[in-house]
Amino acid sequence: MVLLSVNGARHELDLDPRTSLLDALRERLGLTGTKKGCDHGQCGACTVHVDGRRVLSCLALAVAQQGHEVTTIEGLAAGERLHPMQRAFVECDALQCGFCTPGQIMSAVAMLVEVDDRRRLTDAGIRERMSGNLCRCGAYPNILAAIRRVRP
Amino acid sequence: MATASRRIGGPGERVDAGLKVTGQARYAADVALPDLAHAAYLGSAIASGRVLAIDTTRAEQVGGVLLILTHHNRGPLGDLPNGDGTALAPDPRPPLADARVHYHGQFVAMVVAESPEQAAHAAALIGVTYEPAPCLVDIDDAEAIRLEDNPRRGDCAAALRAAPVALDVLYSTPVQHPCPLEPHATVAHWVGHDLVVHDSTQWVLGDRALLARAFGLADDRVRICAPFVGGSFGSKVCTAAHTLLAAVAARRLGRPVKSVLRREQVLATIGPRAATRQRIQLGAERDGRLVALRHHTRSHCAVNSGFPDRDPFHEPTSGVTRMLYACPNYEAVHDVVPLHLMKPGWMRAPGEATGLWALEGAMDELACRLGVDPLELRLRNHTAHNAHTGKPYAGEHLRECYERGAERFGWARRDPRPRSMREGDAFVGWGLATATHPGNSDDASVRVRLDRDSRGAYASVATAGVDLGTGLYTALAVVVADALELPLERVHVELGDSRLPPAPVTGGSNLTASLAPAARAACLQLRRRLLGFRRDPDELAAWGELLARAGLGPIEAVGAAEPRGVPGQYAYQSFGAQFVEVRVVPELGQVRVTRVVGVFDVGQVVNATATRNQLIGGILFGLGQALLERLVHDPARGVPVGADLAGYVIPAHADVPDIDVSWLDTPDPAFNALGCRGAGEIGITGVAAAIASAVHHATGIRVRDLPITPERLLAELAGERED
Repeated sequence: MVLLSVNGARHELDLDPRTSLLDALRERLGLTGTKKGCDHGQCGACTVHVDGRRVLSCLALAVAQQGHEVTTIEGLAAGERLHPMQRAFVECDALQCGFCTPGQIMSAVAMLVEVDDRRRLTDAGIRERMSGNLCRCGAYPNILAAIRRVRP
Repeated sequence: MATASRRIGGPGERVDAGLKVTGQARYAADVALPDLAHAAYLGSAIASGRVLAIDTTRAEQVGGVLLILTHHNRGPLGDLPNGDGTALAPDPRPPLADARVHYHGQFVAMVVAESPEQAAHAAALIGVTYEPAPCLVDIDDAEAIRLEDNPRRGDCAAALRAAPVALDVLYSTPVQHPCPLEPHATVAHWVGHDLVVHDSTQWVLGDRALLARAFGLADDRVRICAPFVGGSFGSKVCTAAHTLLAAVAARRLGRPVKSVLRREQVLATIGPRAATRQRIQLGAERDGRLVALRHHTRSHCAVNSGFPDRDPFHEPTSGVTRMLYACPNYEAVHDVVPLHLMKPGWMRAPGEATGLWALEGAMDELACRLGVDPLELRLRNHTAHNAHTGKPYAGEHLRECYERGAERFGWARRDPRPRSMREGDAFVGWGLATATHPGNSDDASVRVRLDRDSRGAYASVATAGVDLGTGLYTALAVVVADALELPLERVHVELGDSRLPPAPVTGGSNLTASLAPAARAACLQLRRRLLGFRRDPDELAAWGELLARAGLGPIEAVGAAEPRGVPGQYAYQSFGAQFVEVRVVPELGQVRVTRVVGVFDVGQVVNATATRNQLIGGILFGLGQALLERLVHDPARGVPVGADLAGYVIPAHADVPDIDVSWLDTPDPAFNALGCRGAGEIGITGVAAAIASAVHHATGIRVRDLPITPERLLAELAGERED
């Protein structure tokens, strides 16, 4: 039995030890907001937070997450109230098909935490730090605009 | 009625954005059903030959395995429709049809198990003995089929011989892949004798027609749902092999089956953009006016696609070269080379993205040769009618696009000499190209239902059309809110279900241009019916009040796209001008695009926010085409090399330049009631040529083979140093 803590709720799961965190979230817990784009850690669509840091859930084994707090896109909003990053993505039209969007948002939220001084973060710096999250539709300029809107 | 402000053409949040930013938008692979089983596939390890034997003994022993399908036990399937316009199969043979192998990665076995891990593990344990045959995967090294009936006008050969100035150049493009972020996914289940499929598809009615034929069912016994699709770019037009197999397995097992392609399977088994070799011969007067244009294309098809009789599709490169510039003598020749590769298909702006790469590159070379400004050369060859059919464009504003784009970019300050601009360590170069895409539309229908609740009237809009990220949900909501003068939040749109009023494939930038006028027509019908219940023609009454007075309950109407003008009178075409700035550090050979200006005429824009995003997305698709994307196949064994997102590199955040996109407010009223043409593809069309021209301006190096990689530029620059 594996004890997973996801979005503040605890789940006891009987898991195949090969199960990735991504598949556990999607196939066992029904949290399908986290997407599988490549299953190789190359696209970022599966980005979630583990203890507040961004993690590629396709490259993380579910059994290794015991004792850690996992947050997915479903756990980002406070009830009905969108997280400021979610709100900014809507306002800046930072998406088209929406498939990479949960990963972009989770990555962006954690990225801003990683930076010591957000005010010194340049556009080029944001682009570099977000380059692990691919968007084939090309909503990149609007994603940048959304992140800039949230950055204090 | 109070007159609401006209929303069409204005900005506005995407109506489905809330679902997408919270993870609530449900894509095919997100569908959960009780008792769901999971599929995995084994692809062929050879590109050509036969399967001699398949040993499934070890795979069968894996716990949780429910079913293994191979060509021995797949069971009968009906003939797949192809070429009749109702549906498209990627391969004329159904999957697992027989022992023959035509490309590397072709499915040779399917495993269905209780969990995805069990299915993947079991698939890896299947042993296959092959009889390999020689494979051909190099377009330059195989025999071609020459197409008959190539377009021509005038006497091209004579005009080329007589032309004062002649240019003869070869442009090429590699195999490139649409590679949407959402891998192709299907959840199939049977409800009694009816088939229900949740699929990532551009065309629910195509899926329905194909699956109905395959299983011998009436169309209405098959239901396809695709409310959200994670991008497509042409790759989800055909009903994929795994979709068919998921339905076979679900029927066999009597339980739902989920099938999601792995990324390497997307790249190996979903049709790419064909490789091309394009010889462009231009003949011109000394002032640059074209007198002859010959376009000889070589592109590839699949050995098993039955080209050209069964499936005539080939990368339609000459569609754009024949029509764009005034030129009395034109000839296209097209050779198609069957290869042991997955059958190529459509990728964003098929034909334009490849054909303009060659033609606009050649035009830049001609400008350099003549010492004429590249923009001036385009103006000298401009035509206000389709150069091939002679039909006038109903709305054509290309000169204005050039003019406005040049102004926004600062083109007038360009010094034409290569290597004339430097910034720090980098050479700076400016290039431009024309962008164009036909105005397409198809028969389409939209149902609008008007009802009321305690807050007044609200509208429900429904059609089978699919929103691939294009903004169709928003466009239809905007059109209906505008026509019925309702607040946007009082319009609910339902899409992507084969039970809804029929719509064509989302392709060729056609869907908004087809469905938006249809939605408007439905609204106008509703208005006419309800306005009859006014007490007098001047009465201002809300729809809710009129509905109550009519005592009708909800009323609905199905609208169709009205026929446009006099048939055949006009040509419909979108145009644009694209300007690019690049920086090349000679020691690195790396091209950085730093600035793009695009000005487009796409007719009436329905939603400015989504249109801007889509045009930018097209430009970034072009940046990938120009600098990054190439799917390589090992010439000896036909194996796709680096078939993942680290090997097939697409643009990332760090590649993105400053992009300035705008459009002319120029409705095309002869095209449809709203005057709107699509904007999904035009963005990509001129980008690669503009980048290559800018690279030439920066470095003096002319690259005619995509992608423009650092190793290619470094080799040229090193060669210079040795000279």
